[in-house]
This record gives sequence, structure tokens and C-alpha cells, in this order.
Amino acid sequence: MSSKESVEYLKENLNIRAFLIFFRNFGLTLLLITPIFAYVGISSLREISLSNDKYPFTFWNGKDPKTEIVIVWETVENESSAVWLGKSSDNLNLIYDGDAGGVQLHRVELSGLEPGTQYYYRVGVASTPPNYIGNINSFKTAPNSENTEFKFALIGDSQQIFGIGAHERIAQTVGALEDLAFVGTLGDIAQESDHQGNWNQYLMEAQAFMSGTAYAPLMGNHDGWYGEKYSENKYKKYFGFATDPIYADDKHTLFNYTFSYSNTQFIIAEIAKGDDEKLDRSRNINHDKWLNATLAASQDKTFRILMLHRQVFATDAFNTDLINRIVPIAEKYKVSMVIYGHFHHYERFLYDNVTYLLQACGGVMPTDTGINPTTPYTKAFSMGAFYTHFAINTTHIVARTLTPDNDLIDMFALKNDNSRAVLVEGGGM
Amino acid sequence: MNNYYMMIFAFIVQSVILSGYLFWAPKVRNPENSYDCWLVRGLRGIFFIVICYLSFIFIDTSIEILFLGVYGYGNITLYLASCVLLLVLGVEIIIGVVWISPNIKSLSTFIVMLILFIYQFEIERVVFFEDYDVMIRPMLYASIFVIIFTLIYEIYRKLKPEGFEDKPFWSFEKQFKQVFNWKLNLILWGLISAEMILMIEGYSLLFWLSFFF
Repeated sequence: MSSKESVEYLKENLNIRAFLIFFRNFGLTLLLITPIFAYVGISSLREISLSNDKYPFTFWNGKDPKTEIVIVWETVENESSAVWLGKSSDNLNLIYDGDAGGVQLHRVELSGLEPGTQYYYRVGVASTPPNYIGNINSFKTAPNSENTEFKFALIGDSQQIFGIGAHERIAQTVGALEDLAFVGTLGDIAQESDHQGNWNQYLMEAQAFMSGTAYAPLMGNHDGWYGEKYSENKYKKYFGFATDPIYADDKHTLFNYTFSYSNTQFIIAEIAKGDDEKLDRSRNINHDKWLNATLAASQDKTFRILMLHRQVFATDAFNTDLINRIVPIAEKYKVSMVIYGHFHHYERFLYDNVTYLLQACGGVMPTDTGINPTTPYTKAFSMGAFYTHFAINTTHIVARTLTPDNDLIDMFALKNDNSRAVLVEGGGM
Repeated sequence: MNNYYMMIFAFIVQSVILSGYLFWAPKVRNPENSYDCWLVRGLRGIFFIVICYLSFIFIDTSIEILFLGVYGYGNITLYLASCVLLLVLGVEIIIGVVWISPNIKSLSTFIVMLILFIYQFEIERVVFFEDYDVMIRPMLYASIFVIIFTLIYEIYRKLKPEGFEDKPFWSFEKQFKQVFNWKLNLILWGLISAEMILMIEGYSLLFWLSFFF
């Protein structure tokens, strides 16, 4: 058909019927892409409709994990707070009954616990009969001995936008693991820090592991900030427990903390937002004073593990500000491993004989576009939904990154050698 | 490009292809028919440029993951299905767009797009670590090439002695339409939709293979 014939054809056929057919076809085409909208819409509605009621979870943040713990739960109605505790699940005693005026967010700090002990607890209202919330949960206090082998798991960014993502599946797999000292995060728990639905969903799904072990939170850039910007900071609401009595402001961070477990010192830094990266703010300078002091004080430990949210090394995203800031500290204080999230894939680096682990695969959809590792320091690389399991004994750290089906993605081992953690297995790529 | 992103693109592309079969271009369902209208052919040409370039990325992603092992093979059960689907869709598009009935114009465009793709993905990104603008710019360049090429081609046709026509070297359009018919594309669309959602939730159509290893 020539151009003239085509124009004639169009003139003859462009009528109301043609427009109706066009709109019908357009509508039917839209119908074809409804699965994605239906999926996102249903997930989002499910997330929004979740209740604010939360089963209890435990963490210690800056407290002593040998003898202290914090229990938190939430109720929609104002209720008093009661905790039943025991070393056996069938013998729990009421050890706390407070908040008589009623609160919605219940926070009970326990102290005087015995080290290295499995505790069972239940929460609720100490009425007659007791009005329990949830089932019997448990946690284990840190051992007194520095020679006790222990295990923990880390789940990176979960950050389920519109309620979609793989976090629930990972949480259930981690929840089925036995004998974990704690489960930690690497930040970006929520997609939107002030969206209550995000937190309801996360804490509901995380109950799979929180019911049986303590939790080590870490704040990401999506989880809020230190106070003045967001009045409704949900991270602060659920996990905000400062080790430093000074309230956060332009000069002080709030959510960095440290704890020791057996022979290892864990340092949870607050490097969450882009503003937290450069040392051009007094707040960050003060943060690093704390970081240096904390690491200096933990030189007697076999291992020192530094955890933060923003990436140091990452394919396509070398963070020179943090490399210049963290690498010298890691070198000076013999940090065994630096673990972080933020960029949504898995990558392990060896730089100046220090292992840097990017683990941001906790359920968020991989948003990094590139699939080729492009650094000479990369030792392992993958993309998907993973968690990392760590086993630490007197001489070694053995880390295994696994899928929700427990298929092995990466394994590496570090050995203590004159206070430095030397990579002895997993030198691949 | 990772297979998560690519599955979303694949879903959109396959939805558009299927809507073509079912609603917009019913003639393509019949192996005996084809469109002659210049407007339809022009629009189809633009769409072909876009999906042809995407199909390079689909195939590249699958090969890098499946055969070059950029993710390792520990979680193969979680990406095998997506890579196979991307490979099938990519091959279907390239055959359907270029190789069922190639002529000088379509082959030239294909070669230019391939060069742009290789430069963008294998040279600019790998050598210069440039990870952005791998989608729009090559497609824009290819479109500019097609417009210029078409103008030259039309001028040449007017000036040449009568009878010049850019005839295809071969054509197995009928056989292609018989195999890649609307039913097969509907099945492919269903599989891509399901895999895309399952991947986001941490599953896959083939995740159950993990139980056998």
C-alpha cells in the first residue's frame, strides 16, 4: 500500500467506531498488565490493614547481654504491662507488673539475669486469670566465658515497598535455625520510616525469629533519623535505646551502640543517611570519637565486628567518603570484619586483609542494575534473597550465606592471627 | 542488568506482544496475512527497535547468569526459570523482528543496534564502569539511524530505475507464526507474570528443585 493509499484508507476508516475499538483495545491491554497492579495492590492493602498489636521481642542494644534485656510489645488499647519469666517454659513467674495507667508501647527492662542462661517469658496483663499476649517466647543471655562458641544470623535490608518482598520467607527460615545467640539487621527495616504499616509488617514477619532469640537492630537511611526531622520516628519508637545519656542533636548520634558476646565485640555504628558519611559535621566527628574509643577499649577481644548501614565498597558504588573514613579505623583497631547493607546485593571484599561484607538481601527487591562485579577486591558476588549465618569459636569466624531454602551462596572463614582476622577460606573470584 | 529488573521489562514487553496478537493486530494471528499500511509498519518498526534492544539485554542477562556464573550457582533454583524465560523471549523477539524475513534495511538496523549494545554493555560499562543510560541512548541512536537510513533508502528508490525493491533474502514468516502463535504467547505471558511475582517474594517457578539437591 502506497503512502497516498494509506492516507485515503485512514480518511475512510477514521470514524467513531475506530475510536471505540481503539479505547476497547487500550482497556484490554491495560487489563493484561493488571497482575502486577493486583499483586502490589493486594500486598499494600494487606500491609495497611495489619493491626498495631505486636507480639513481644527482645534486644539489649547498649545493655549488658550477660545480665540484662529489654522486652517490648505493643497493644492497640492502653493496657498495663506484665512479664512472666522462668528458666523453664512450664514454670514462669510474674516478675514485673507495671504501667498501671495503661500504655500502648510496653517496654520492660530486666536486669540481674544469669549469664549463659536460656530464659522463657510471656507478656500481657496480670489480671486474674492472666491475659497473655502471644505465646511463650525465649532468649538466651550471653555467656560469662570468653571461650564459648556462639552463632548468630544477619538479615540485610528488608525494606518491603508496598508490602512486597521476600523478608517473610527469610524470616521463617532463620526462625527455624536452632541455638542462635541473636539475629541482627543491617538497616532499612522499613521502606518509609513513618509508615506504621511497614513496621507492623516487619515486626509481624520477624516474630518468626524474634520469638526465640534476641534482636540486634541497626538503623538504615529508610528507618528514620535521630530526632529533629521526624517527630514520628518508628525506629526510635521500637528500638531507640541510647547508650549515651545525651539526647541526639546536631552534635550527637543516638542509635549507635556496642555489646560484647563471648570473645567478640560488636560495634553498631550509626552511619545511615548520606549526611552521616562525610566528616564535615560535628555529629559525625563525635560519632567517630565514640567509634575509636569503643574499638580501642575492645582490643582484648579475639574479634571485633563493625556493622553499619551505608556501603563502603560495592560494585558500581565505591563510597570514597566511607572508604577514607572506615578503612583506616579498621586497620588501626584490627577490626575483624566490616558488615553493611544499603546496596541491594551480596558482595564480599578483601581489602588490605580486612573482610568487608555487603549483605543487603533481606527481602528487598534487588535494585542494583549491574550484575558484573567490577572491583579487584571482590571475593564473592550474588543477587537474590539471602541471610548470613555466623559461627564464632575461640579461633575462627565461619560465615555461610544461604538462600531461604538453605542453599549455599558463599562461605568464608577468618582465623584469629595475632588479633587480626585472616581470611583462610573463601578467597575465590 | 539483573534478572529481577529484566523480568519486569519482560512482563511489559510480553503483555504488549500478547495484546498485539489478541487486540491490536489480529492479522498477525493468521500466517497468510500481513500489514501493508505504512503507518502500521512505521509504528511496528519503532516497537521492534525497542523490543529488539531489550531482547539483547534479556539474552545477555541470561547468558551472564547461566553460563558465566556471575551469581554463582548456589541459588540456581531461584533464577533458572527467569533466565530460561528471558532467553526464550529474547530469541523469539530477535527471530520475529529480524530473521524471519530479513532485508537490507532490517539487517542494517539489527547490526547497528548490536554494535550499540556491545559498545554500551561490554565496552563502556566494563571498561569505563559506566552503568547508566544503557537503555535510552542506544535506542535513540538506533532510531536516528533508522530515520536517516529510511530517508536515504527512499531517495535512492526514487532515483533508481524502476523495479528496485528491498526484497527479503528469505521468509519463513508463516512457519514462525504457526509456532509462535497467540496460544504460545499467552502461555509465555502467564509464566513470565507468575515468575516475576514469585521472584519478588523469594520464590521461583523452579524453587522446588532445591529439594532434590
